[in-house]
Amino acid sequence: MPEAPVARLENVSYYYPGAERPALLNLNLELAAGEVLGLVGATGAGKTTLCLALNGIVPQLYGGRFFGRAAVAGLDTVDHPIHELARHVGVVLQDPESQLVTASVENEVAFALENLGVAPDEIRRRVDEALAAVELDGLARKHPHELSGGQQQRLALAAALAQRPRLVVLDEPTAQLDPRASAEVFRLVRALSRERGTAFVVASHAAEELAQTAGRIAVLSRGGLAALGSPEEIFRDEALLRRERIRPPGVTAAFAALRAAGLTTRPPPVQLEEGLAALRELPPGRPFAVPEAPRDAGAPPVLVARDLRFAYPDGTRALDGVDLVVRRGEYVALLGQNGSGKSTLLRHFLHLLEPSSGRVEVEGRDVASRRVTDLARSIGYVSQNPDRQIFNPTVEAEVAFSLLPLRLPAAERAARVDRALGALGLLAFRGAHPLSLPKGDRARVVVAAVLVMDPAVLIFDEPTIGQDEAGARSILEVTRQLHREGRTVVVVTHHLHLMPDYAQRVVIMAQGRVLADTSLRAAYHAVDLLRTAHLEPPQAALLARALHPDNWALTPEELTASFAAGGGPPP
Amino acid sequence: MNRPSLQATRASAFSRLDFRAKLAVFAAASVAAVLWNDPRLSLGLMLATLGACLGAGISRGYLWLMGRLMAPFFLLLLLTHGFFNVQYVLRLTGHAHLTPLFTLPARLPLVGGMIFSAEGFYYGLNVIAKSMTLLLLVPLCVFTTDPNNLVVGLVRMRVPYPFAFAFTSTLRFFPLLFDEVASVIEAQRLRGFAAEELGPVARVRTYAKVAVPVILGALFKAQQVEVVLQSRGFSGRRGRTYLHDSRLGAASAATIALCALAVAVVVVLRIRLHLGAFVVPGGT
Amino acid sequence: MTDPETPLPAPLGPERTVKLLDSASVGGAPVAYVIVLAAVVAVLSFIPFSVALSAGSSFPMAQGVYPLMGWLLGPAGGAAASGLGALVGIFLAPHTAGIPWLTVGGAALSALVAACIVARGRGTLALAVLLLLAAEAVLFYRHATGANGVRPAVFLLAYGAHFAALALFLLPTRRWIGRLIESPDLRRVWIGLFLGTWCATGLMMFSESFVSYYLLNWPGPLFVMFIGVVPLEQAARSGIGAVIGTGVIAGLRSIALLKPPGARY
Repeated sequence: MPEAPVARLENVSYYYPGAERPALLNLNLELAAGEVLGLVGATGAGKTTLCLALNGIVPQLYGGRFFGRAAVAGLDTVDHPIHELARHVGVVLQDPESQLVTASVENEVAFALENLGVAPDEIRRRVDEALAAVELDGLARKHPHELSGGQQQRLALAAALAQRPRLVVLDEPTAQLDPRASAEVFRLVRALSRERGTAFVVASHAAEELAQTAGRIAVLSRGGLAALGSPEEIFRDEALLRRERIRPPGVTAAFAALRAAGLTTRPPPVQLEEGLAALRELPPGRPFAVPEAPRDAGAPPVLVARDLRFAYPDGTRALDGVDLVVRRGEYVALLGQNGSGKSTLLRHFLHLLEPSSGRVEVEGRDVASRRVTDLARSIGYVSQNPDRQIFNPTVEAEVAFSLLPLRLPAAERAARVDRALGALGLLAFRGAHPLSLPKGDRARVVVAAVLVMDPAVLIFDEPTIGQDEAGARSILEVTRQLHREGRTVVVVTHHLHLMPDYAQRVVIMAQGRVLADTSLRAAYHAVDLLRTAHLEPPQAALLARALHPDNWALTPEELTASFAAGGGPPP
Repeated sequence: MNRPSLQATRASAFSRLDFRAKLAVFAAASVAAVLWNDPRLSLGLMLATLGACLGAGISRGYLWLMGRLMAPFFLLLLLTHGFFNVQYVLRLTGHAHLTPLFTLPARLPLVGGMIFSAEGFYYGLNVIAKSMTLLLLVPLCVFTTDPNNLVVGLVRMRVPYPFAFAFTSTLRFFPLLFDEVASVIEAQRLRGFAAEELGPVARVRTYAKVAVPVILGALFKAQQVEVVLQSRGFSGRRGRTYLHDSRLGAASAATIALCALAVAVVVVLRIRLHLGAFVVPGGT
Repeated sequence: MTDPETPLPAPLGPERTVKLLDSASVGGAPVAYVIVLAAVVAVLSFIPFSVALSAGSSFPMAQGVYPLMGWLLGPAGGAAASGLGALVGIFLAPHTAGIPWLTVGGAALSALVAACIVARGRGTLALAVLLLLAAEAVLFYRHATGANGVRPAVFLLAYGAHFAALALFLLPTRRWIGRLIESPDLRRVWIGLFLGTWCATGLMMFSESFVSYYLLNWPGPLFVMFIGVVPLEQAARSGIGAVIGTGVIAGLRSIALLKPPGARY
């Protein structure tokens, strides 16, 4: 007799309090024991609401209107209190910091068990077991704030596992992690699902990881289930992906392009290994180069670091002899895992940090002689969390705020504000509160607030973090527009697959040093170097390199074109 | 801004005491500090508390910082009492006149001829010692306690668990919000605002605007934290268990008993024998 | 920025009766909100702010925010958040702490008073607070003028700003300020928060002064100094409270955050 499903949703619909449109609509879904279900969909499709409906938070915490029936381990999530459901469902959320509520690692894991009245001896056993399962044993007495982002997410996973749930729900667990930490979380999910028979629901935009991890993928759209199938079925359905703005794994997109060009008839694979093996069926590879605009070595330098070294007060060496020159009009992508020194380097250009040794110049002048507030007029900085840069109750006031220290005449101030709002498509929202706008638009508000000071250089620190593909591209299009206006743009990002469309040049950092400073194409081609920095090139680039060592294609389109091209010297 | 650490750097006999015993010490010392006005006793209590802090492993740097920051305030207190405390100390001492320690030269404008009295000086010393004792007791009792044990200790004292948990969880979130404030201040500077260069009204507005994104961000976080707490079965119901329990050992029980006795003795001696009443040392 | 959407079908499943979560709370305010806002108060205690020196030390920005906790979380939750935050703040910024348990009590009282400054309800709580403050005022006055010889006029002038706060709390102005704070017009909200913060922090400072005075017995001439200093500091606290509070309330009204029960904004 087949085992009862771990979770079952029957015609589930949900409206948040006061909402006119449903967050979930007529959802029917069953989850088998030990299954890993991936959840994909555009921002606002209902992924988070579904995740929270599986443990009763929706609707018991938020209120609102709930229709249909949702049950986990046979318990109705509307009729049974959340603390009872907590014995069967564990939850891991997107933000590592907000979900750690105690002052030590072991207490974090023990917290749920204490709430559920588990005996102390049993708590100790489960704490040790859970920490070992996520490879955090040895850190039991540490304060959660001392852990890295990846370690914090693993700790949250341990806290969920200790409850010995039948189901663990992970809502965008890797959105704020670097690629290495992200891969570790998914590796753990695969291992735990195999070893413990725990079912997992993972909402994520990380298509490559989901393809490797999930047995089935559910596509949500406007609260409803648009499709449900294996990763192959979902990621091969191009019409579905286009309609629902879902990015497939790079290898799938690459083979879909090859198929469209008639170079193969095989269905696109969803995993890289399968794709690499399938290359044998393709025509022989050849060298391929894409002409690139030469770097303007004559353009004046705007950001210069010479043998820059910096150590924090506790002795941690964050920068260890960095040399970097960014010239006017360049678009530079700064890559590296968390802790590699990227932000520390940028903070020196803004004079937020004093070097231990070395020299830092902005527009030809030593920053040591310049104040932070003066540099702010030359360098516009947009942080990864735009909400920290919003101080005013309307979009217009927020943009105008930047001009207050300049003491401009009212007419000029108004004109500059209007120009900045217009450039970012925000004129219609000038009277709105910035926080009432979606995250992507809030980022635009901050960009406008920075742009109004007319800086020559713009630095974007992780602008795509936590965003879906469309949201990430939307903000990167802004960077492209600014670059076309002649401004120098520096973008820090982990989304390597997006950069080929924007950046010409890449600087790769690891352990406080510059590992490589070269054209984007050359950097992405140097796979071993990228992996030293714990970065992974786009899957299309890996396929190109496997086809021929001198195939410098980076995108599915270029990969397809490389078969038609007559070859050429590498760049 | 440099984020301070809140924990003592080493284990000690005092830090091993149960939190309830430390609270008993806190209460007893506070009662004595409030009741005693004799500057010798007040200073002695202050030095004993300071010694206890050092013995318990409270960072010397932190204690030095506290002293340095409070010094201007204490100096002002001393001068105020020395020059201006007349009627009150005369009533306390029963003297007819004050005993001058020194007199400011008459030629000085406004303050010329003012008398700095011994009675005022000693009363000022008493007030300084009292204030410092009350201040030192807080790190003595809290910095020497593991936050995990704090919760259990409070619960064993019948403090409702949600409240005890709120206290220790505040300590957990403090570093996070501290970094948030630092980021927001930085973001303001990167928009061209340096509050220290502005006039008072503009400075109020600029500094205050730092708090707005921090508080709104905190409320977003609070909503997330609420989801997490509920998802982990947090309900404040009875029957909750604890990984680390708090048992009163012999040393802790003895400490509580001693403190209770000490309070009784201090109160009785103060009322019956006026031990601790204000006196000028040297019998002037 | 979002595309227009076509009409959606109706839900097929039966509508369920949703029983709202009876979660652990501190005086009705969700624990999570108390925790995080207490952490904010603790951090703001680290930012010293003063437009005038008062007794040789500066006051922390957190003092302007204590009343806001009362309006956001209600009387018990607000008092808990302010008190907890002040307690943690004491460890970090001792130079602004004064007498620690007084600072903690004062912070809690400030939020409690603010939570009573509402358009409707909480009359019994307000009466209890009023009686406490009235008793303090009488005892303080008697001790200062009777036992220590401070001139009555000097005492009244020194604490004039705080007596104004008491008047605002006692008179129907309490309800009027509450209505201003709940007004959709942000300019009226600003005025309401300025007056409300003046009232709440004024009564907090008066209460703390009352207890401190019994402990420290500062001499008469210091009261003369207060005449100039106290109104300035009150104005600064109220300004901070108004600017921060208006920004926060404007933000909260614009975003879909779970509103704590007991919140009045």
